[in-house]
Amino acid sequence: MRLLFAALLFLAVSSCASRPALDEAALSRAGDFSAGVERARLMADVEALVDAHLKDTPLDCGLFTPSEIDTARRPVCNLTRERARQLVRERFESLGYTVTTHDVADPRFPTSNVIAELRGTERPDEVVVVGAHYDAYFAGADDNSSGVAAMLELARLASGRRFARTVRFVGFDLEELGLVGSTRYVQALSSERIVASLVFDCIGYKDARPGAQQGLPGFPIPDTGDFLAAIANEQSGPRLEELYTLGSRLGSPNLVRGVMVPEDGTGPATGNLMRSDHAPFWMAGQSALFLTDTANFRNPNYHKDTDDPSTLDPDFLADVTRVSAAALAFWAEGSRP
Amino acid sequence: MMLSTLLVLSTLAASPDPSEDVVRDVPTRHQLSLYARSGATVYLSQARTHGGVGGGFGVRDTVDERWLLQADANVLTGLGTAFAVRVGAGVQRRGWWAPAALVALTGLFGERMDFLTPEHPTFNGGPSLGLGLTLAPARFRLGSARVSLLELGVGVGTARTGLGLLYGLTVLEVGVAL
Repeated sequence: MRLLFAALLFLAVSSCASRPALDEAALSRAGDFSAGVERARLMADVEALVDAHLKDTPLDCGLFTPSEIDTARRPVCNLTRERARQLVRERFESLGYTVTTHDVADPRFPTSNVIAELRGTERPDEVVVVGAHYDAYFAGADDNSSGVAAMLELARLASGRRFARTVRFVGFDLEELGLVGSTRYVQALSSERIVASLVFDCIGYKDARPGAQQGLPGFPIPDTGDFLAAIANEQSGPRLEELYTLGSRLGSPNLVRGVMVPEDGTGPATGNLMRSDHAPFWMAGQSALFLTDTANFRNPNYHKDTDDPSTLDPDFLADVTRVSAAALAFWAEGSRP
Repeated sequence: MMLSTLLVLSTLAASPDPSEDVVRDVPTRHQLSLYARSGATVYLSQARTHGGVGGGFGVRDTVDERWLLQADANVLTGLGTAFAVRVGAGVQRRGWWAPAALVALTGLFGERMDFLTPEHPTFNGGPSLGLGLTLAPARFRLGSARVSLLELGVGVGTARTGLGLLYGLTVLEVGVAL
């Protein structure tokens, strides 16, 4: 009996979690940094990205076997990326970043992740990653021009500033075909320490009407689609608590709802939480937070030709970007002029 | 639930006992048995989802072929790896068909899904605890073995973050007398 009691006590104590304590000076700096987010600029970037997708030539449909693909769910013959990649690259360059690409030659699906980096001034080997995939079906306003626009806005705010840790922006290629670009990126990571990652995928759609939000068994979420879902693995659980606290302290107390999944998220009950570029980070044991409006669980335009900018909520997108900007500044320990 | 609990327990306790006259003056008899079970246990609240499917082993003391005292430990998977420890007491019908009702205290430990909401803005550690009623309607004695199919349990619990509901399902339990 004593042994059983000791085992129970050990399990109870070992499962206790820590709580975030935010330094007030860092919180203030994060708030100042995030205040620079401009809604109009975000929407202008969404429009520009959508325009790029609509003017682009889709991937060769002959690369796919239609009988093996549910084209209603994955309209692979309407997938574009080249012009959006060029736009992201040019925007990074115009902001003064030295841009590199992580290219993988593949006879069927070559990929090119676009990377802009701001070297940390004190601990450059500790990296904060901000990522979003730039390939899209049809116009791809929510999926994922909204996420790319948020990444570009954070890059604009960080440009010319100093952070103790390295800040890295990554535009991921071919997420829609199975996280191809991000998987290859993570496989090529060096031994550097990723202290936090933010991955945006569909962050601009809001519908606050009751019944607009669909759920999943075992997930206590409201039926109004007016929140940002922030999804963490165990490594990024503390980052999720910090993001939540930052949102609450900086004026968006009800914006974020968080989920932390066990292990690397590959359990049978959490498959729907693995559907973006954070998943390769999780499977490699790296910290990554997935930010989303929950895509098809809320947005009826998901993967359809109706996913255009008029369906987005600019205020919601701006709020999400502000919280993310605060988190970036907080984790990267900046910003300073 | 309390009324139905009392009703079930009183019905089982009052079931006819063919050997009652014989055992009336006999000292209390204990029958220890080991059992293995498979099924699912899940705790659902606004702050966490904990549990999964799996199985485990337990030990049971059957007193006077009527009263049950038992404890078991289980390994669960599906939401990471979790452990369930149950301690229960209950009553069974005597005879080859031995339906039972138990009141059980369940502790869930280990990995789970946690949620941050305006009501629960930080993750809380510690086990999920639940107290509930388990009904085992298809429970049979086959010689020195006992087999039980489809036991259902429901209860309420807490994980320091407000109330949650605890659900249990045993698909198959097999026990042998020691």
